Amino acid sequence: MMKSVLIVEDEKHLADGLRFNLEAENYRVTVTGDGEAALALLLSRPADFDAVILDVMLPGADGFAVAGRLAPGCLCPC
Amino acid sequence: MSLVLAWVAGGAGIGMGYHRLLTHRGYKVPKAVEYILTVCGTLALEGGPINWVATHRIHHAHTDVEGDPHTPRDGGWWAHIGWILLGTGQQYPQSVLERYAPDLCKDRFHVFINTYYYVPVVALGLALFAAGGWPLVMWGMFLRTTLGLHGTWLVNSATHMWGSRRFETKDDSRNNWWVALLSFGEGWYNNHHAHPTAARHGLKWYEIDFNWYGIRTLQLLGLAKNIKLVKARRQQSAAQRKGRSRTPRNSSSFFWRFCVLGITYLNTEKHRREGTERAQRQTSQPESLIPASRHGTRFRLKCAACESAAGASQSSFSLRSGRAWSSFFRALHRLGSLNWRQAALLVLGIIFFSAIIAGLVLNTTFLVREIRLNEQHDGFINAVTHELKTPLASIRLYIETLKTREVSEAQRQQFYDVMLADSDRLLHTVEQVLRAGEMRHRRRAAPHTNSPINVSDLVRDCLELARVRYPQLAPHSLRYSETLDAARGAMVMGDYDELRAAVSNLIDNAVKYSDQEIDVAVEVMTPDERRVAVRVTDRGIGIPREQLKRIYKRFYRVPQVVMTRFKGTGLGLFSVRSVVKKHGGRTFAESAGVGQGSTFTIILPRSAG
Repeated sequence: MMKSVLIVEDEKHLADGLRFNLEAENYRVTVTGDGEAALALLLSRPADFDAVILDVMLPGADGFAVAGRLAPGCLCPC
Repeated sequence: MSLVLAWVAGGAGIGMGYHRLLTHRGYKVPKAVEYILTVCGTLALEGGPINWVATHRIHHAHTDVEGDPHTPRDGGWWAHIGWILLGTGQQYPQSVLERYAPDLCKDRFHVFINTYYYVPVVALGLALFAAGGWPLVMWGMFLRTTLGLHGTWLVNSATHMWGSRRFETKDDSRNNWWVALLSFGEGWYNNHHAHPTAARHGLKWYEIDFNWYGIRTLQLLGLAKNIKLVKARRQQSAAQRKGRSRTPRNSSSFFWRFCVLGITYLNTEKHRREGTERAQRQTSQPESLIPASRHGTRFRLKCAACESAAGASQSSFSLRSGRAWSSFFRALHRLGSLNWRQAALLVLGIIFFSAIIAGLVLNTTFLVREIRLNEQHDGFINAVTHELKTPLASIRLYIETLKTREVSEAQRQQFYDVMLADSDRLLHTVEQVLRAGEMRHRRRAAPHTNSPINVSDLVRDCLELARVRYPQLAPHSLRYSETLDAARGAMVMGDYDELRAAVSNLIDNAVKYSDQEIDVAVEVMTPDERRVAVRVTDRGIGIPREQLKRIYKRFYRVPQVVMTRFKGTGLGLFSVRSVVKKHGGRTFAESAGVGQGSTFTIILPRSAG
């Protein structure tokens, strides 16, 4: 089964580059541009994603806020 | 810094120098040290040494009796500051100075420094200004002297009113620990009045006396000799008496005095009444037809003695019962009868206090500005780092991809475009930072070149560039219009590249700060003979009203909304304004509020077509 990755990145060029590379490695890739949308996706369908690539500087909630909401007490430096 | 100065002036200068050395000769030092301490004393702005010493010797000669220049028996307020502001202060005729300070009057240095006592303090003020500008002057000069003066004045007022008494002295002097702390040890005033010439005022280890520590240091350095001290035996016997003397003097003494005064008052009242009756008997019997007024006059003549006695006791009675009120009325009364010198002092005092308050306000303002600028600076560093790193990371990612993966020809072309766009973005940021740096250095400089420019062409050129830069824009979302008076074009003088960068910046902003729907209108207008206006209107996120005045500032970015959603350095509008200013024009920003879009206008001086 294909592993699924969520890319949370608001810089379109970077997101596209990442998507291209990951798809070349046979991952299923979803891209979202802001923190709030990423949170909504992850909280509503947690089983759909195996990994998240999360930017820090994001519109809406920033990367630290998103990570803090997803995994309270995680290793992130917030 | 000001704490050190406070000690130099108030501790070494006034306490060790003026007071214990010059006034009481409590110890001996070489002349050079004496002069240094004296100069330190002038820094406290308490006048010249001769006047100070004479005042203080008079105070010791007449402590808390008639003739004391500053006794709280004339009211606490009077003893603290009133005698300076409203009284004669330390001004005495030469004869008095010579009588009370003959030793100093013979010394030519002291006579000189007594006349020019303000010179060292002015020099210090200038030095502070040179070293640290106004903030240092405010702290090291105005605040320091004011607190120092109050410290000294508290010795005159508070230590005659509050505190304990170790020695039975004829005056009201008291040992007051907090005044001692504030005045570097001068607050052990009862000790001092009991043994005026002793160089050490704090007699126990817990009676902190910085000035004594200073003198002791001088002694250890071999500079101070013949130090006079309170004899241990007397100290001890005094301590034995302490138990008896302290209580009645401290708390009940007022009560007793009150009673005694009350009795005196009642006695004189009675005496006066008897005198009146006697007088009436004496006058009315033989001359019963004398008019009432004359009658009164004669009575007054006869009873002048007892009247004055009654008056005196009444006045001192009121002093005891309502010190604050009496000193207040005294102050009011004296305000009307100020001579020019007192008036000048009063005005100076008021100016002095306003200067201190102004200093504090200025200080705070500068501090807040500094903090705010620092925050913006941090924000700028973050933004620039992000702006530089992102395109670079992107270019690097695509190069790596091209190098390692199989890529179709179409995709290869697409990657090249992306990399080009990112290089442009990088270049743009670098140029913007460089330009802003340049502008900071040459704010008032003239435009780079000065040639005639047709603003219509310039704006069309900018729009062309924007269409290339934003290929996703539909033609109708970037509109151009112009309203010109027919005869002449919209001509200005200036540097084409600089102005184009400014206008492009406004257009870029309009696109960047638009929400999903991009609708940007650019207009060129000639409102009158002398002006050309370029107006860029968008329907984007708008600007909160209170932020409008700040957006042109260097590094400034509208907080919250803009900071997180839009990337930028905070330099764009600063550059725009700088360029337009260089061309003799002005910039405006309008916005009805958040979500209402905004309008940026550049107005340039029009040149002859």
